[in-house]
Amino acid sequence: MRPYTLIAELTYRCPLACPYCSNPIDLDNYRVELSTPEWLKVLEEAEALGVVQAHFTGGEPLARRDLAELVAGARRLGLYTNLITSGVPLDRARLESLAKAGLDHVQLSFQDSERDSNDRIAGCVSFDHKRQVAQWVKAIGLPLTINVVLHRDNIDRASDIVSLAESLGADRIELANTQYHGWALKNRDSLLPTKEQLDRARTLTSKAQLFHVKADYFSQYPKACMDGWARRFIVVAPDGVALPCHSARSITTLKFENVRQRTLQWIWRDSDGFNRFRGTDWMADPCKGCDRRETDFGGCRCQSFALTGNAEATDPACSLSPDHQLISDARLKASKADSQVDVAERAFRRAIGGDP
Amino acid sequence: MKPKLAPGVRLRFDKINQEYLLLSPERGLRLNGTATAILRLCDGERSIAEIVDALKQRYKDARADEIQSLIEQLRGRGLIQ
Repeated sequence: MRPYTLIAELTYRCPLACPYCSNPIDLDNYRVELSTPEWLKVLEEAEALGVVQAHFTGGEPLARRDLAELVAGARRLGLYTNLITSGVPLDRARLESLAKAGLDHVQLSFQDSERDSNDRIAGCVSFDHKRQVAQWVKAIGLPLTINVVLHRDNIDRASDIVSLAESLGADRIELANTQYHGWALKNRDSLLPTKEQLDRARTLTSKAQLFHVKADYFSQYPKACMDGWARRFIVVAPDGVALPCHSARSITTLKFENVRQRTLQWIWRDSDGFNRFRGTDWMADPCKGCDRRETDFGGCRCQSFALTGNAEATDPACSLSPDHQLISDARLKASKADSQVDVAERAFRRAIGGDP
Repeated sequence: MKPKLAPGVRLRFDKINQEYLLLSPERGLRLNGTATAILRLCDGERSIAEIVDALKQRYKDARADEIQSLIEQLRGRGLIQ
């Protein structure tokens, strides 16, 4: 068992305030961040364990002034480096310095295909700048993925979103249906689309490579979350805590270790948090006897815990789960326009650490 | 047409499994010996016919249809252009 991918959450600072953000709700607890030498050590330890790809994400990873140094460190180790960014704040000179440091790929987010709506969802004026950033990425010759999180406010424009991405020269387009963790779960009732909206979006095609991230609330079976718990991915949060997925810390019954105290190797191989849901031995029915147990790994542990209070339960998104009604009720509520929660009632993450 | 790796795609030797991986945004593909030999010749300077010739000189059992089909398959996945 070896990890292939490190997800380096460099900071939770971000100039945007998207209502579906997957960052933790208690953002204020993450002001202390790993130093540059500590991140470089994380990259080395990850590579020694088998990691071949590093995703630099956040929050907004550009908020770290040492980003180019970390990209260079990853490339010295031969890692494939991917920057997952809102494009704010980024200027051409900095993008060039990242390319020079060996950046392999840029994944740029948009919130919608129209300026007003994009800026309203992002919570900051950013649309025109994002278009500019996309043009710089192409001019510099880096491969570009444009990704957009889909939800009720923008899903009817999914086709325009694909056209926008194509016109900006995206090599890949990712239409990611909202995953309901963190802020997104808080705002679920105002974000969840209807089945009809979803069906229109999922049939879209493009001349670019188009990827759809499925909406587990509308699927028969759950998502194979992280390709299985502690099976391929390691997430390191801004404060140095290593996790099997972005939101694993929301499972408050588990304990996770910090790279400041333990090596990544020990955490990956020996820590309770990583071993807790590895493989299939932990499963109860209906997962235990299910043919799909090695296909979807019981779905998402964080979702089970958030919705049922039991992290070992089958993901309620699975139609075979005894708790599936939690999902079907949410779906039903979304389909009835008169019971929809007003957008004005959404909770927005507060930007931490200033500098938007 | 002279195949080469698509932008943002590169080969990396994996010490753990002693094999090559084809790395691209968000994914990695494990390559067997044949696929590795083919991909290392996809340098944007050789045509498919030249790649086939080069492989036939090295491996007696190299087959043009198999080589062509692997290149087409990887092109379909956006890994080669």
